[in-house]
Amino acid sequence: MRISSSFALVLLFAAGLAWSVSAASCASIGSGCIRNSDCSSGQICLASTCQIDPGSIEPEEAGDAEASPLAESSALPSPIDSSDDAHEAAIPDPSVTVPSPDAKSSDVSSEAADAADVADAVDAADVPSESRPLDATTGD
Amino acid sequence: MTRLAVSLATVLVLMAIAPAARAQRLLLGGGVGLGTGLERSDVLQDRLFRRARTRIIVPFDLRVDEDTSQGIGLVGLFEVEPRVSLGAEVRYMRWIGSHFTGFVGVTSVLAPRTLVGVDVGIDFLIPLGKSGVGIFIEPSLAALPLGSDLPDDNVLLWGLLAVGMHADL
Repeated sequence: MRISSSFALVLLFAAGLAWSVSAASCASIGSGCIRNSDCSSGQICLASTCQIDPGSIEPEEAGDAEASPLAESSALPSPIDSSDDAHEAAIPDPSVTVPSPDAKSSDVSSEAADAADVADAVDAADVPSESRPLDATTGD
Repeated sequence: MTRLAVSLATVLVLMAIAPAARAQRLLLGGGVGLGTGLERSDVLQDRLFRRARTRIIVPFDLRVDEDTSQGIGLVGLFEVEPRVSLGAEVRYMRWIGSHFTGFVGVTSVLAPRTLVGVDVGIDFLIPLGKSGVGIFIEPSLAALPLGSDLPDDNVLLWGLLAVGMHADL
């Protein structure tokens, strides 16, 4: 059986026409999905729509997502902690030997006290340092 | 020593005068084509069919000259539009005359997700001259019930039509 080239072309034309008609009538791929690979990465086809694959979310990420509000809340200072700090600041522990801000403040206060003592001693001598040279010049 | 010499001479003579046995020859054909069609799944709710992905097929057929009525086909599948995927198919082929070939096979998509199923179809070969080159037209039906590409384990049905060039290699 010999088939002419013209007959082959007719067959090809018929096949192309059939495909065109079917493609136009039935057909666009665009809307909906029937294969998971119709969806982008991380999505699967559920009920003809692409949805985020629940299996692609790792448990650790889910745990982090659940735990993050707790983490944020724990990051905030609690009223109990702040009251303890205030309590400790108000009543220093005498048993603590490590230098503390309180100890520094006491050092500063002692230095201030020493300066006050020097000033008192100068006052007690009752000799104004500025008046002596003046008195000496006036005396001459 | 004499016995060994006679034996070797006999073997050499027999090898020299023995006619060459006719070995099986492998008949190989191959081609490339472009195809698409319609596909159906129960997931598809708003209509009955949609257009299947456009694919490039690279078929090879192998048979021996002692029995040219049947052979094995290996087909590379490359879905190219609108999504890209890679697959393969193994066929049992039966030649019906010189222009028709029927086949049944196991078809698959291997990446990026998997599909496995069976298909059946015919190849209609239109020779162009006597060079062994021709045009093939291949309608086929496939049912793919297995694979990770199927949502909710629905069976995917393909009705495909491929057209391309085929040559005897």
